[in-house]
Amino acid sequence: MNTKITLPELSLVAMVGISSSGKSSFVKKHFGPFEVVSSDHCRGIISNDENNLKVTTEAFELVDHIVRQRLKQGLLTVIDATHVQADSRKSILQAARDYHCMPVAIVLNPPMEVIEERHKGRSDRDFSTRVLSNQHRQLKRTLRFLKKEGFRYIYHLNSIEDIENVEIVRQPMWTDKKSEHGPFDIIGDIHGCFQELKQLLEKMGYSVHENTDGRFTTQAPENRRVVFVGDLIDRGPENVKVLKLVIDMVKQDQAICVPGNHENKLLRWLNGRKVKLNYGLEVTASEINQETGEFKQELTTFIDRLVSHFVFDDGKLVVAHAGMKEAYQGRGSGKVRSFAMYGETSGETDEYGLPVRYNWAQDYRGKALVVYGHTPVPKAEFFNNTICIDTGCVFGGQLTALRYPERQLVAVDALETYYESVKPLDVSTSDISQQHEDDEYLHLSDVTGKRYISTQLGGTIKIEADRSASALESMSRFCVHPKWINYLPPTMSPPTSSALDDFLEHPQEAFNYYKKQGVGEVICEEKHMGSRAVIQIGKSPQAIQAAFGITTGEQGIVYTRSGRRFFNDITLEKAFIKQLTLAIDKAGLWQELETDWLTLDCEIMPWSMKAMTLIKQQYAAVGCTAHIATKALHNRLQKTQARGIDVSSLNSSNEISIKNAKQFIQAYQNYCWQVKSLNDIKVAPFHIMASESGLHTNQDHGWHMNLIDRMVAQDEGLLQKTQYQVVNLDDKNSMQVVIDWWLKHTAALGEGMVVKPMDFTLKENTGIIQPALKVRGREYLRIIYGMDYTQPHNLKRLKERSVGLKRRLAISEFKLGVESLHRFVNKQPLRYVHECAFAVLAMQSQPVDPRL
Amino acid sequence: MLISITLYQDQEKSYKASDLGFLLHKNPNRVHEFDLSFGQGYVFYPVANDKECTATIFQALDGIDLVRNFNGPKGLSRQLSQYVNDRPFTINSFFSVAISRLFGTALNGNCNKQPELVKRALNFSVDLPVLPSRGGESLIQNLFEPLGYDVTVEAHPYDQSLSEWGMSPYFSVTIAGTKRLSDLLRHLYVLIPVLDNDKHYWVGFDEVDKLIAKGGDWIPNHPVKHLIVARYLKKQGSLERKALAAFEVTETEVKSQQELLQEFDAETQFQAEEDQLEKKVHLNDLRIEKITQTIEQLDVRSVVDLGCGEGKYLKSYLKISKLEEITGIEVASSALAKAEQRLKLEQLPERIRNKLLLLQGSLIYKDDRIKNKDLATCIEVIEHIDEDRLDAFQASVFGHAKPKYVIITTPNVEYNATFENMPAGKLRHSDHRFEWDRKTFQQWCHDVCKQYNYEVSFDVIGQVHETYGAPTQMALFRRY
Repeated sequence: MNTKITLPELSLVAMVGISSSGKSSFVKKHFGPFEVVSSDHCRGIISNDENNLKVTTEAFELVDHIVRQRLKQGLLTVIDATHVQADSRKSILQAARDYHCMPVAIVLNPPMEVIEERHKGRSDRDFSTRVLSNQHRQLKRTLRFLKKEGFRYIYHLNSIEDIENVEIVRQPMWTDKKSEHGPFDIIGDIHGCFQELKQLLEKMGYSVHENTDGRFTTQAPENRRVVFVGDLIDRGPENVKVLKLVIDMVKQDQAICVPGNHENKLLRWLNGRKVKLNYGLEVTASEINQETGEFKQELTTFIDRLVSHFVFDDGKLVVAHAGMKEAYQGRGSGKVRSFAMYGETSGETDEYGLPVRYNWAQDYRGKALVVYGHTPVPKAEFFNNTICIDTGCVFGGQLTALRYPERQLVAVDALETYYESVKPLDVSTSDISQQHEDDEYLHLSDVTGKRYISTQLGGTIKIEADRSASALESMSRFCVHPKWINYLPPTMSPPTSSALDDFLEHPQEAFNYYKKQGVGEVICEEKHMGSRAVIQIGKSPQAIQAAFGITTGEQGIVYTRSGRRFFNDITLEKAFIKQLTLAIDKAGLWQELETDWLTLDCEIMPWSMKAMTLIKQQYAAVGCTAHIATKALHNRLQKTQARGIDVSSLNSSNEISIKNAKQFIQAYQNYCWQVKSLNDIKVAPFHIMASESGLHTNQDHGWHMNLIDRMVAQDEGLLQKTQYQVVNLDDKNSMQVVIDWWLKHTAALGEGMVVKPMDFTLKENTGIIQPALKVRGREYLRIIYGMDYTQPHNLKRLKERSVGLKRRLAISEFKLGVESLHRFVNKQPLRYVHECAFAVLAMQSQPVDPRL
Repeated sequence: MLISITLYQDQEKSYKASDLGFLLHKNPNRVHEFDLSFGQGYVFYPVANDKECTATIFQALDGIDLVRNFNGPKGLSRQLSQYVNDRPFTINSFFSVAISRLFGTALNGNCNKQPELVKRALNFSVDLPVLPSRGGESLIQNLFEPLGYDVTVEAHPYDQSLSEWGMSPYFSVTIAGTKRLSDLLRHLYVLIPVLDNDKHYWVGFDEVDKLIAKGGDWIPNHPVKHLIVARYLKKQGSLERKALAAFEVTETEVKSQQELLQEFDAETQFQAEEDQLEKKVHLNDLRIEKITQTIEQLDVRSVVDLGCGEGKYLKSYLKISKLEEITGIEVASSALAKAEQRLKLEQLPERIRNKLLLLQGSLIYKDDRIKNKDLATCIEVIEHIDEDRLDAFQASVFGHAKPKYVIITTPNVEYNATFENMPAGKLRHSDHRFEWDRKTFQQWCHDVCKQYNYEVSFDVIGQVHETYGAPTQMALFRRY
């Protein structure tokens, strides 16, 4: 017959038994190779000798380290060592305590004769049998203490047969409901408010029918189930009725329940323990006293079997009465249970005499959404991926439910105030959400080091530690407040070099690229030559405060593609924002997009406004030296030629250079003018990235251009229209029209155009395709590739360039930009938004050919 | 890149100007073409008669080749990594290399055909249409006039049609003087890269030998010899010392020229401003002294220097024996790397080495690694943080790290009035986001105390001016 050994899925198993008692073959048979940590093996790792007793301390340190790393990951672990001394078991129990796992001892204690026989047969153990009997004596002494020491499950296997015939059964943790995906309606602290509970259930589409026996039949809408966060009773008027409804719903498999501290206290009273009848328990108790003994028994069993907390939906949702920190989720121990019901206190009491709670949610960094109650709050709000839905119904507040996965809140008002709260409910002094308040200061560990960011658009983006180090520098020294930065625009690649002799870049290659990617229609937008900028703009300072948590009274901001403030002059920025708000007002965009803020992606002219130093020190410097040098050379060559010495070839190439220098100077001058006031600034928006109604990257570029055109029409002084054309890539004529347009535009010193697939984000089998390609004009490129780049011998060499890295960066940065907006509009904690912006800065620090 | 050398016939007509062709070994009636490492060199003669003869040297640098295949230093603002750069149009170190390639014999003072003439000082003028000068017109004069040249300088604006952009660092220069050709060439060879303050090749010990060979007979007598040596050797201390010793320049002479050097450099490297201003009052030493004294009096064993830069203060903390744990936090990885070098970490005894930990970090993010320290010092750092981000600094230092003591120093802006030549309203350093007067600083400190439960006392660093106070203000915070 088989001996069954039951192990909770998260156990730390200590094998107990003397040398040669058969531990190693036992664990080999029943556990996976990585699940077993052997002390002898660790001796070997450290000293090349599995029997080396000199490294005992070090070997056990290593065992302990490995064990802890595994428990941290939530993996069952078995320790293969003799464990006959209490000392050696201490560290096991400590590790199990620290990681809230079940400590289990499996004792192998076959008759001594068998062991001695085996020992003699072994060549790898060169100690005398006296050692064995010593160990055996210690073992016998030990066995009595195992339970007292703290092992929760102890299995004794005292014969060869027992050992041979063991069957190990692994039991899932009680808290594990990962395979249940909902949808759920999670209901906060009820405290005997039956009427409100019924109303709330009905509001969500449940039907509640009270039978003649006072019990309930309920019906749930479409596979939904209720999860009660506990504190069903006390203080309110109809405690037993609430209990009956909950028990019946659980019985009918329409609800799941976790215990609150009030249920726990009730259980102790039901079990006849001495309990102070206060905090509303006195009412509940007297109600129960009028019930049958049968109900009392049913209730006792019900509460006794409640599991501290649950992990649902592949680990994405955790429900516990008082919350659950990440390290405790899905684990079982007295501490975990107590945390689930009471939370942790800091040991102090506040001005109302109530214990000060440890604000675990503030430190919460877990991936699972934790839904809890316990602490009445004036308003349920998401905070660090947690939400407290106890809105103090019994104190005259509301009874709230969170619908999952919709993340939608449903509430009913309390019919009356049933109980006066000691502490006034509304103690919040801040005008901004708890999340925004907590986001004011970021934590270094949330951004630095090697990072992996998974994005909605697919794929995980890796950021190397040295890159994030340089991002930290620019973020700390130059960027605007991180709360503003919900988006940094991606870099943009040019097409591959033109097949035409006289061009480095040409629209045809961009068309070819998209056509090859299976795109049917592209939009070609005029590329303005200014500086890329992101504008955050609100209908009012209050709107900015609500959306961004910025409390300085600013109504918006303009920042560069590396997150720096665009305007040095704050008054100018204010006037700019004000005037832009008017245009958005008049265009009716606030109403149309149901928002009071917008994130705009733009180009701001003139180029010289932001890039003056660069223009002077690089472009003007080269223009002026080229002009003087070519003229001087011309003069010398003329004289030489006049002497009858043939310098005509030098002269003709210098003539070209003289002309090129002039064109070069014109090219940069065209993008420069002095800014004396707002009237000298032009802004050309081209994307409406996001607003309160969400991310707008699901809209095609036609939608963006259309709304922007309407905005531009309101104020053509400040706003610059972006010319654009739509091209059908299957139609040669359609392409030629745009090529002609591009030729004309760039001959007039326009920078060029940007070609984008009509859809904002386009996924192909191979992944995301380039969100945009820039096709720069022949004249404009002089300021990039040098004034003489058009000389055939130069152009030929310049065409050999690789756009691979630039394109990889463009796609990663695009994904990150959309991701950070996605997180922002979903009101995720700032660190998750910031992480993406930070990653874009990190990518920007990667050296890439600056001319692309 | 263009330069013209003109020889004039003397009044006695003891030679013909066209003998220049012999001196340069280049026939005036031909165009000479040479392959140079990054392009073609040409020598031709726009004028060649008995009275006057001009040799023009033109080098067509291949910009694309330079960007793609050049392995030397990228130069000022990394311009050699850009296709658009001034190197092909200006006279710079590429020219020095070209002279030695094209006129090696003349440079060494030899000429087989005219062995007498080459040894004579003749009437030359040199025309440099585009000469960059980091130090302006006056540096050009300061360099050439002491050598006996008449100097004419024409300055150029950045853009002729946009006068508001101001003047460029490029000049059209003519120098004229009676010189031996080899002297003239050696002057140009050395002084052109000195004016440009840049070189396109790595400077090593052989550069000292070149300097001695090309300037051994004239640099020691030149009034700005220290500047010439320092810039020619790209400010590499060990090289400079070797050259100065060879030229027998004394310590005192070096010191007396230090200021001049900084003055000219200031136009290219504005970084040195603060150091320059404060040097006269020895503020740096005084700060170290004051902080060390303060630490001696406090009961502290661990200290973190916030914004430690290149480790100026860490170095003195290592000498305070009661400090068992020293942490340096700096946001710029490059500065941290320099700190590691400057503190010679790997050469310190292990016991001392183990006291010190250098970490990259930011003062506006909360950082668990600097919690539980006895003391945080923040020396001349807060003024580099945007004023509207100071609350994040406060939260991270006083709210999160919560050291027992905090020392903060920052400039006292009132004192700026005592700095000569400092325009009103200008700050001591271009990266300073603000400089506070005493009242503002003290008010800020009191606000911090109120918010985070600290008390504060104030101190000064440097000589106190009766109206403007001390140059540096200091606050010592203690946690309740």
